[in-house]
Amino acid sequence: MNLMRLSLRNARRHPRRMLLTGLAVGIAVAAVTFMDAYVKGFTESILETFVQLEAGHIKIVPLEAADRSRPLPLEKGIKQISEIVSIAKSTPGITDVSPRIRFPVLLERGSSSIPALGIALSPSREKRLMSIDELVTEGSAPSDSAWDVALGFKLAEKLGIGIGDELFMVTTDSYGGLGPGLYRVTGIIRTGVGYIDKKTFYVPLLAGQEQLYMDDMAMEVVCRVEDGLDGAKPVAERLNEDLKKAGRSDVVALPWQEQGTLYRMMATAKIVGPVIMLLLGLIALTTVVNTVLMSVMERTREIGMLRALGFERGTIVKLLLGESLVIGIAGTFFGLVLGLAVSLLLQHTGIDFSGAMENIEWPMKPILYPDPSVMTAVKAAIFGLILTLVAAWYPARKAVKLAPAEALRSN
Amino acid sequence: MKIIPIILILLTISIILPCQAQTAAEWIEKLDKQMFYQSAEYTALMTVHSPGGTDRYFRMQGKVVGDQFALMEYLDPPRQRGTRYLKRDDNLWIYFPRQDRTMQIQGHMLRKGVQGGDMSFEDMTESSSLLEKYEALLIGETDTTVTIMLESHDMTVSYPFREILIDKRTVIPIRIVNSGVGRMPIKEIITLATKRFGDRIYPVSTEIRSLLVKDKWTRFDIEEMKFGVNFPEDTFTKKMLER
Repeated sequence: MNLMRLSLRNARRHPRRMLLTGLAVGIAVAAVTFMDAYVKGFTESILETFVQLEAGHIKIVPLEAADRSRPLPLEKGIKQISEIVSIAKSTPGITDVSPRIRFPVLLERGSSSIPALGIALSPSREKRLMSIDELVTEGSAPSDSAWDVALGFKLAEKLGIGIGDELFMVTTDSYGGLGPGLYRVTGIIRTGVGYIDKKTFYVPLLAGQEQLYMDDMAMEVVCRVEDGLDGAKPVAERLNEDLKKAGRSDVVALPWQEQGTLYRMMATAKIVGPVIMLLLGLIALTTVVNTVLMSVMERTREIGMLRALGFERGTIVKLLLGESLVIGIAGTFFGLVLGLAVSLLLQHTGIDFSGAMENIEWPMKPILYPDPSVMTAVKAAIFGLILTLVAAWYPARKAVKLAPAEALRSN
Repeated sequence: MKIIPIILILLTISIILPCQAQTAAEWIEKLDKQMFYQSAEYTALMTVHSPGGTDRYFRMQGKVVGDQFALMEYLDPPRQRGTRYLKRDDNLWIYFPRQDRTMQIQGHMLRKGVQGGDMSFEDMTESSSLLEKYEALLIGETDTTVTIMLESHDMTVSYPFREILIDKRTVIPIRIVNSGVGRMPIKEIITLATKRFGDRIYPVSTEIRSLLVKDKWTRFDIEEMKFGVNFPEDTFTKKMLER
């Protein structure tokens, strides 16, 4: 207890130096707090959008498509899709199943063409998957049996059409012929995801199948799992067994983690946090080391005196570490308050990346919301305290290595 | 007695010389003339064979005036029934009856195969004489056939190289190989059958084979054909296309 009081008194002997060191620790802790909350918010946002708009919890695709980054041509889609749907529906753990067809099309406007992506799906089956009703901000979602279309608001603007207008398109059908489709615009979609708002439209599955000459065919079947994201892998394994038993080895069920490169990218994003934490730690470490080292060098005679008075080496190390800890606690507290305040403020207002995200084809909303949590604060606090103790360790060890007589002789 | 060999030699010369005098350009001119008609009306069956053995059949009815105007309508299958094409010079429109919409086929669409087959819309719109865009070179000749290589430096043509094997007697192309840049063969057109219509012989069964995709071909079988038909003035108009 006395040692702690002594550490506290020593730490206050140089208030400017203490402030500077505390500030370095504080800024590092604040940056770590914010970074942790930001990475968490980023990965959660991208995952939520990816699962909702693209992957589902599980996606059944043609075997040939499993290892491809580019989409398969329509003629290589899944045949006898109703059989696949009934197999998936009967697999325990799966609550919703919905086939989809993605097809590229050039939409004509006067003499120019606008590249777009059509997605044919069953709005009623997608209620708990894509939830197209929630994406539609104006008008209503297409109905299952009509030639309705809901399209991104920017695409609608480019085409100069709105609710109630007709949209005529001709695309290549699954046989390579021309597939015409005449739709009525029922809904305008505003997701905030650049490529959805700018170039995507949704049509009912039945109409899409007819236009694309894909009777009882689809390009993918998206499934929702009762246990959510964590339950996807085991259910996908079970589904693959069921598909194999039914003789459908032409398709494969992929949990969201195995679809595309997004999961790998997210894993990379998760590494970025610790790397930044390490870099910030190194910067703060040098400042703290410098401060404690200076403090030790200035007090060489004092340390020699303490040693001559019978203070043990371990006690002096504890004394110096205690001094650093005092600065560390103050800096960490300041950093936590600053980091959490910034994170909480931005959690409320969001960080707008609209300009940068406009042309990026990621299922990512342009406004990111950091997501601070208790764990964020705990991690940052541990980081701040360990940082100061590690930084003080070397100068403290150096100080006690001096012989008391030699220390007393120094100026 | 010496007179007989002399007559034989003269006869041989009189037969061979005109044939030798036929240049590649003259053969192409003859071919253009043989294949050209003022007007015709036909019904035909198009078979599109896809790799893996799927055959799709399209019955169609067409009216043609020279190489400038054509109007074609699908009679079968039900999905395509009533779909019409109108060609006027180098322009092509398609009318979709179920949507009651017409669109002009242009740009990237021209490269697409009709009904996913091996004949592209670009092939359909081609109307100028071969000699207008190609230089002809005679590259082979037998007693019954002649082989001409057509080469074009015009960047707008679909195929910079075309090798045509012509039957000397009928002046019908037996086989055409269309090649792209670097002389890479793209498709082959083979005449499977011909039929005499009055004083002219015309191909009635033609197969277009893809040389890029294995086991992919499109066949046209003309079921009925009538030459020299007079069509009403408004036959090849958008009004008739959308009627």
